[in-house]
Amino acid sequence: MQGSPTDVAAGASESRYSTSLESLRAWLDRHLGQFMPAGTTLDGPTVKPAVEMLFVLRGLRRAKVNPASHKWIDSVVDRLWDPAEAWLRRLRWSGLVNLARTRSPSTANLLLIPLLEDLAGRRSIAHERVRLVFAEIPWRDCDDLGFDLAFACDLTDVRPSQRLARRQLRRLVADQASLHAQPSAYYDLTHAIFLETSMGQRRARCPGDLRPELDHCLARGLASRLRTADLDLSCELAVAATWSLPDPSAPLRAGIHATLCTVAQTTDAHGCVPCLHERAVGSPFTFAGCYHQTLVALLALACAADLTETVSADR
Amino acid sequence: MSYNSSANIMLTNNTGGNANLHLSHRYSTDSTQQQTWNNVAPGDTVGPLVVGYNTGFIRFGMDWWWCGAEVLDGSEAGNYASEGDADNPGKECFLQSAADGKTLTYAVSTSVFMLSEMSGPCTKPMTTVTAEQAKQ
Repeated sequence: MQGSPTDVAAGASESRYSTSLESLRAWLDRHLGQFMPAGTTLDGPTVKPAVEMLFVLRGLRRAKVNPASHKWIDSVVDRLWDPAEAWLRRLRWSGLVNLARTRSPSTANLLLIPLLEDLAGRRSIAHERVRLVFAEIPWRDCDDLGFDLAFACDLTDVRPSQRLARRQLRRLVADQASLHAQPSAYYDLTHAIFLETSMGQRRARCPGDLRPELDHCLARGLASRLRTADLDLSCELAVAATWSLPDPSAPLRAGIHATLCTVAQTTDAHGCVPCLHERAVGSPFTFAGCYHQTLVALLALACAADLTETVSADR
Repeated sequence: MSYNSSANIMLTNNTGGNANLHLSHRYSTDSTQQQTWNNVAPGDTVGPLVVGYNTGFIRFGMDWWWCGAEVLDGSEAGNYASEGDADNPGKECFLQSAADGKTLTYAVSTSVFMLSEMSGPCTKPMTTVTAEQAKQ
């Protein structure tokens, strides 16, 4: 049976980057032990990588990747499930409620559970407890809530955060000069889009009047980050553009394309995406210096298929 | 734009002489945060330099540091600096989320720049440089 134009477009993009995607998945497979939550506390050293891995897997579920990729996602989730449940059994839950009441950033590490549950289609032993903890987070001012806690409350239906995401997006786009002066703040922009779309799971409702400015802002950010070889932020900007703008401008499409080509070349050379924009200290291939870029690069390359499909459908 | 975390950095003069001390921090590729303290007596601690940084999921950023010391007197009078310069700090040492709102005390001698992070110390050698390089 002949595939639809959408299937063809998605397949073409997956094929174009298939070697790089396979290398990135293989690197993550080899290092999966370092993503396993361990210890007896909420902020153990492997919890953050584990949550970040699950964020990216959630985004990958959305991407039009091929069946082999879905099998890989399922296998990673399967391997993470038992260590995660064992870790949850060791936590002292009575203290976690107080952490939530003081809005401790550590509370957000419990995001691991709803993210994992959603990916696995199973209910964790901590399903109810996690929601009770998040429900204790006090709401002083909606706008002062960071991405992590806002995403946690949104994902567990404790408090929807799309409106917050839209407000943040509008505020950031209105102040592009500040974004350019402090480039790390572009992460706030990508996170507003990640929050609004729940990592690509729902449609972004970018108001029409904001689209040209958002397009310009993303294109400017991509150009700036590529100049400094900041592939991590470049990949996040490319993903955010794919999820938020149905018809990117030519400069933005060029920025996304340049990002994907650079990331694919870097992956082909190293098997992962080491941190290049900082002066490498010692080996650039340490887990800490590679894992985050490797995760978001995987997402960006996989989302290339989404971009192709969305633009084709709109035209 | 602001950072979601900040720390107060103090600096102790372990050079053995009175010194002009310079400290610089850069988060990711953002602009640097710098401070100079003049005529710091041996053993004294000065500061703080308030530094901003970000923590949280799916963002990546490193903290980079540089220290310069113009030792005005004493047996090791001279000019010293760690790798890099004030505008391009060359020592990477992570500030973790646990350091948010805390005061950290670093120390500089004529041989070592020691950064005492919550997770443990980082060190970087100090080398002899020109007077200009010690304050840039």
